[in-house]
Amino acid sequence: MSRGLETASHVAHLAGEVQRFGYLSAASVVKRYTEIVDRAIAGTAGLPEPGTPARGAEGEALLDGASRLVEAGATSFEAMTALLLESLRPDTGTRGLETVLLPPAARGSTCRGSLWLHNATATPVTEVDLRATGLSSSSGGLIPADAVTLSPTRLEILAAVSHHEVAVHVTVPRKQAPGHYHGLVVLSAAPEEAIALLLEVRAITGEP
Amino acid sequence: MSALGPRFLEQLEDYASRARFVAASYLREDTFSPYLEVPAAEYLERGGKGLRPALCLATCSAFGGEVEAALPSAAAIELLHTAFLVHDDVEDDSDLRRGEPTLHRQYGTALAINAGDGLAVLALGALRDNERTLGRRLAGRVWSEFDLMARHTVDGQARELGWQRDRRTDLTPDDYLDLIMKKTCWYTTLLPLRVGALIGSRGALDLEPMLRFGFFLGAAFQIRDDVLNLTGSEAVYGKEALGDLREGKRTLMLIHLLAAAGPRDRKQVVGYLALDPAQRSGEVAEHILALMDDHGSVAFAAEFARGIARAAGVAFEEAFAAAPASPARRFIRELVTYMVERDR
Repeated sequence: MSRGLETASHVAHLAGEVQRFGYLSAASVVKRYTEIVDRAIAGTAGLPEPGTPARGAEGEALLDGASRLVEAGATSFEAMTALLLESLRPDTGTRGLETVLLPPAARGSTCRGSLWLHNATATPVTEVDLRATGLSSSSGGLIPADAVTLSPTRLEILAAVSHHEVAVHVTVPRKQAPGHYHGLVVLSAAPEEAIALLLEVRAITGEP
Repeated sequence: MSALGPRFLEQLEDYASRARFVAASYLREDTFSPYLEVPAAEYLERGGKGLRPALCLATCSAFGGEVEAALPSAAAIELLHTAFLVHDDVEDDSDLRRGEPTLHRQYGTALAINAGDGLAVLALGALRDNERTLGRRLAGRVWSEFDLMARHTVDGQARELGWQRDRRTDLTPDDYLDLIMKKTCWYTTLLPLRVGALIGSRGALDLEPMLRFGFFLGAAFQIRDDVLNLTGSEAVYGKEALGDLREGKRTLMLIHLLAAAGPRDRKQVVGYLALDPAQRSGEVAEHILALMDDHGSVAFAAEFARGIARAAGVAFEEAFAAAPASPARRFIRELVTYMVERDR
């Protein structure tokens, strides 16, 4: 892989890491304030929430888990700021669909990106199946779906207030025409949503 | 995230104008001196986007309530928001609000502060009306939500002003998030959502998921606002460009810059923050902005917010799981997109 491709891969990875850092930091604040609000509302109004279950030990454990993840994220802030000096570019996504910007790849090579599944809710999500479509270009080029692999393709459980990385590998056929290729990742847990994939296939330097 | 529907802006304006009309009616009911009524009415009528009252009214409707039942609360939210803006502009010595001179520039600081006080007092009357329409018990719970919001908001504002006064340069993203939870999220998203849900469900709904959704939404909104203050056009955004930088606000971009810059650049930033706001010229502010670009600080904040915005989309589904499909529910889902991707 050329240095340019390595840098683009690094940028895409870093953007994902910063997004994860933002989410985890925000989840930590929510945890703190959940307790503050419970106390404050009970104290000022003196009125219990009708039908509101008290948060049990299981919920506390899940939230504590999130807190630990946040600590791990917080330690990486300095490392991320250093990395950003060299590489982060302002626009790594597009509006509308969430987009995974894969690093540009030469034909015949394999590129890797990642997407993050976030469960910001207090409820675990079970049996999440992921599927990827093939990638198409505006000039009619097609990278078949079996050249796009996700790892893992199934999550048995995505715990409450947690996240999981899914690796996306695309093997670009040797004779693939250069251009921008678009595809989708869909999830059984959110059938109305899709995540876009964007890959730029480049000619190998020196190719005719 | 989903795209905005064709009727979204029309619906937003409809909710906002209904709340604004009720808010203005509290001002008209009393015989106030023109020294109070004119500046207070002027600010109220300038008409912002009306996101807060719209969020309250739509949430009430999504959970099966009549929009009318939440109108006094939505009006109180708009009155308090306007009161906070008046005082905020005085504290920050801002020149522009919603594309026009701030109230203290127009009427003088003393009358502006008093108009802000007046708007806040009128909100109390709106909340008192809840007793009549919602009953004492539910009105009491709504009152508790406003009480909690007001405490956090003034505490958050004090914290931000204190950081500026004490020239703090040792802050982290966690400090920033904690700040915006208090100074922005409570009154911008949490209160409207929680009060709307309380009224719509007649107090039956568990409000904890609203805390999660409200914070993710409010945080993504505030970071977007901070980025727009640096990159947005003054004509479109309605506030003076680089206003936050000139005030020395500890935004996520500034915190990132302080952490990412090498000793030489960091010294320049710290020196800039040590200046009195009047000494922070546009030229020097532009230089700090250039440093932010060089060090990836704006890009960092944009990605950080994107991560939180994604979480807001997920948290919405949880918070509104009990709300059946309806135009109001769809409006709120679209509002998430609107608030985190807006350019003004």
